[in-house]
Order: sequence, then C-alpha cells, then structure tokens
Amino acid sequence: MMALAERLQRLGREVAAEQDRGLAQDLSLGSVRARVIAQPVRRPLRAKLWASVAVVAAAAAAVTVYGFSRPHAPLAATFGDHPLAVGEWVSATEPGTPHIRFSDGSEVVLSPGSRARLATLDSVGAHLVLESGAADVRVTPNHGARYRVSLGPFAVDVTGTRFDVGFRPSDELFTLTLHEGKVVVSGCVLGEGRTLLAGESLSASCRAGHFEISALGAEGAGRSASAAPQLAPAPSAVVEAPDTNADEPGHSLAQPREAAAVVPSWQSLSGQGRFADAYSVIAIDGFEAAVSRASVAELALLGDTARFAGKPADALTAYQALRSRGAGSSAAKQAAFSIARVHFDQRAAYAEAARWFRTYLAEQPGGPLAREAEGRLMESLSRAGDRLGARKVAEGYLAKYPHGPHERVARQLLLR
Amino acid sequence: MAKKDSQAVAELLPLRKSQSDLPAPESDELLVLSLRARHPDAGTQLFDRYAPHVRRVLVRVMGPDSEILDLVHDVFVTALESVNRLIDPKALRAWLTQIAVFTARARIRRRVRGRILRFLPFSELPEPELPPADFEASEAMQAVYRVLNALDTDQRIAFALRFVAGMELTEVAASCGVSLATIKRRLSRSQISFATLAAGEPALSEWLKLGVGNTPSTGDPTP
Repeated sequence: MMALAERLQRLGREVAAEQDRGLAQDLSLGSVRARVIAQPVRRPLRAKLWASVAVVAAAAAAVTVYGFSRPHAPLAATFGDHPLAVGEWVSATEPGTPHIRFSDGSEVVLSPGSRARLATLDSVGAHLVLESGAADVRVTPNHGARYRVSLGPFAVDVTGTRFDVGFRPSDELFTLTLHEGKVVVSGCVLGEGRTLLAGESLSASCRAGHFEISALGAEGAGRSASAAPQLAPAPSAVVEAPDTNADEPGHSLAQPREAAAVVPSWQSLSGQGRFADAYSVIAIDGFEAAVSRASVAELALLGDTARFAGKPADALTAYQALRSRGAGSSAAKQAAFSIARVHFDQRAAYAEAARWFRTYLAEQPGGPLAREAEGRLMESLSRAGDRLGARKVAEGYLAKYPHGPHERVARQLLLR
Repeated sequence: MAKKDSQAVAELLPLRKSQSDLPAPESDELLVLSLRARHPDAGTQLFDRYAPHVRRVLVRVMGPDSEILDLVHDVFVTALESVNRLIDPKALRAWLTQIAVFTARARIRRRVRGRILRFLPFSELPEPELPPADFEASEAMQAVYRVLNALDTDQRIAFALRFVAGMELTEVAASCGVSLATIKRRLSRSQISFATLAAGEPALSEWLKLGVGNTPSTGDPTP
C-alpha cells in the first residue's frame, strides 16, 4: 500500500502538471514586465545619503581625471550612407546590401535575409541583436573595446576579433566560426559562457540540447563538448549543422553567408512575453497579412500579442477575425471577453466594452470568466453613465457572488 | 565556473560606474552587481531570467488565482528595492524564491484577516475575496486549494512547496526562512490536516484512499 506522502506527491505532481499547462498558454507576463521596468526604484534614506556623498566624490574625481584624459566620444554607426541610431532595425534583402560600420573600424556584414537591430552604442562598443540569418563580424581590437552580438538565447562577447555567426530561430540553431581572436559565447546549453579560440567553430542547438566545438582544418583534432554527451555527434573537422537541418537544405547554417531568408517566429517571441518584439516581426509583412495567414488557433495569440504590445486596433482586428472564422468555438466566445477588455482598458470605450461583456455572458453564461465579465460589465455601464443599468447588474452580481471581487463596487453602486 | 565568475566580477567591478550602459552580464553574480550599479538593462534581465520561475512558485503556493500577476509585480519591485541586502549574489534564485514565498504568505494572511473582519461595518471591510483565475482549473486542483485554504498559512506553504512544487526539504526550509527541523514538523502536521480535510472532498477521494490513519512522513528518510 502506498504511503500517504507518496500519494500526496503524486497528487502534487498532477496539480503541478496542470498548472504548467495553464502557464504555457498564459502570455500575460509581458504586461507585468512593462510595469516592473517602468517602476522607479525607491531608495532607502541611508542609500540616498550615501548616493549624495558618492555624487560629490564622483564629481571631484571627474574634475581631477579630466585634467589627465579627454572623455571618449561615443562611437557612431552607419548602415551604408545612413547614420544608424540605437533601436533601429536593418535588414539585408539581397547580396551587396550595405554593411554596418562603426567609427572605430569595426564592421558587420549581414547575409541576405538577415535582420538586425542596434540595441546599444557607447564609447567602447555596441550591442547588436541579430534576429535571424547570418553575419560576418569584424571587431577592431582597441583597448577596452566591448561588443556583444545577441542571437536568440545566445550571446557573443568580443573585444577584438573576426568571426562568422548565424542563427535560425525556427529551431534555435546557432553557429559560429572564429577566424581571429577570442570570444565568449553564452546562453542556453552554453550556460554562463564558453570561450572560443581562433580556428574553432561552434554549433549549438537549444532545442536539441547540445553543442559542439570543432577545430577548423585539422581533421579529428577538434575538441568537442556537449551538454548532453549522448546526443553529441562525433567531433568533426568542420562545422556541420546538426541532423535537424537535413530536411531544410536551403536553410543550412553550415554556410552562413548563403543563408536564405528565415521566417522570424513571432509566436516564439510572444511566448517569451516579448510582445513588442513579436509585434515588430509581425509588422514586417503587415498585421493584416498575418491575420489572413494565421490559423484559427493562432488568431487568439495574434490578438493577445497586439493587445500587450499596445496596439488595440490590431488586437481588435485579430479577435474579430477569430470571431468570424472560428464562430461557435470556445476560442471565439472567449474572444468576446478579450474584445471587451481592449475597449475597456485601452480605448476607454465603456459602452462598447459593456456590449461585448454582455456578448460573452450571453454566449458563455457559466464560462470561466463569467464572474469577471459580470463585474466588469457593471463597471463599464457605470463608467458609460448608465447608472440604472449598472445598479441592475450590481444587484444580480451580489445575489450570485456575494463575496466576489467586485463586491465593493457593486455595494457602492447600490448605495448611490 | 566559479573561477570564471570571479574573473568576470573583477573585470566588471572597476567599470560598473563609468560604463553602466554596457550590456548586462549573464551570471547571477554579475547581474546582482549590475542591479546594484543601476545598470539600465539589469532590471529587464532580472525579470526575463526569473519571472517564469517566480510566477511558477506563486502559482504553486496560491493555486488558481488572478492576482498572481500582481504578486509577480510585487516580488520584483521588492527585489529591485532590496537587492543591496542580498548577501550572497550567487544565491539570487533562492533569494527570489524566498521573496515570492513571503509575498504570497502576506497576501494569504491579508485575505484571512479579511475573512475575520467581515463582521465589521461595510465601510471598514478590507479588500474583497480573491478573484477567479483566467483559466478553468480541474475539480481536483480546486479541491486541493480549497483544502489548503483551510490550513494554517505556514503549513499550507510548506505543503505546497514540498508536494506541489516538488522541492527538496532543504529548499523548502530555505524558501520559508526556517530550520530543517521546523519544516519537517510543519510538513508532518500539514499532511495530517490535509488528509483530514480532504476526506470531505470527493474529487480527492481517489487520490487519498489510504486515509489519515497512516503515519505521515515528510518523504525524507532522515530523522
């Protein structure tokens, strides 16, 4: 007979698995991210005092140091003839696309079909995000230079070197061939960092959970490593894309300079809560095009992505498409609630919000969001100036949910 | 890896004031240093790295609850404000877990107080009961958290971390900020209480057919 603790562990595992299934579909973390990052950090009084002392000391030090050295000017970046600003996206549409050049002589050559964004730029280096595709990177070795190239979950930190790097988001496959210098590659299966030396190449797959470091041009002499040794292929003399590439010859990253255009996965970005990035990927071909291409199952995610990216009009387009193309499905019924939420939260269109909360309640009277919908219907009516309607809903709400989350609002409405 | 970290810390330390706009580092240790140096990307890095973990801990403790996102927010605000008090930067994950557990406990206790204060006049009533989750939970899960709601808060948390989150006893103790002996006592009591209350839940009867007559155990063979 199984002991009680064992039974509880089994029950707990079942509950945890169910929670994880729910969490996997829940994309709402992105909204909290924005709130947390926007929140100013309060400093305790003592910290403020020390901060003031530090500012005075730093100012004195700065005056002293200025006498001995001129401050470094921030680097400048250009894409062809155009100055490249922080936050700007660039893409290489065809061979011969202009290079990204930095004022210290460093250079990034994007392969056709690649897309990159300049994330930061300062006096000692830059942070470039290569969203997909491949690039030839040459960093001029200057004293204290610091460059970073991010590719999906991977990051390459360099001080002065030349390498080819590529990333395919669809299977999170990363490749790097180092021609000169030294780099540190981190992220995913590589953990906090692996050092790569000149003449070595690395291929890593997040999804397959393995990586391989090989020596170039010395057959059998490569050092190999693997996070999951049983999955690692035998060491090879040249970088070889893992078997997962076999069915996609046109997308092989073994020859990064010839990488074909790679479709960025807005779904994966959205799943990570990176809604603004996901939205910018969708916007490449236009949101309407994405709506017309999306399956019924993807429309809800598309709507949520736009909603969390702060694009209410696009969110409504996606939800409406879901309502018509998936008519009668539970996702379509749930979309009524999402539409109401957009009208309430992002457009302050309370009468319209009320209409859609009513639609949800009519279609799903016992649905999982019925209590929330009824509460928010009451709020919508109240804010739209329909006091009588709001009071009527409040009475019904208190009768059904005497201790519900909108209890206080309902009682206040009835007291007025 | 530790050696590599210390080298990286040594590299970053003299730079952290003058080059605070460099990309945020990858290791927890360097991330903590970046947070303390108010690196512009450090808060984002902290959230991206640990928000899923924090949310999972909160969901395990609280169950289906639409205030989870507010709690995630509170955990990160607390963490960002008190990162200078973190003694061992390598223990960032464990520290965040503890903040999550303490944040959840404060919310549960506030709700318990709210239930007691319902005897007060309406104008003095606290915040209303917990709103529903945005997804439909199974009968068994709802029953588990109904039972946990009836337990003492500390017992409930120990139970959820051990049996639902699947943590080791030492992790549960560290997350609750108590000794191993204390956590074993709490778990022992919580099992008895849970089994007793679960007897009234049909959705749990299949799971706990053994009943309460059996000797509860913390799942740990050591005394």
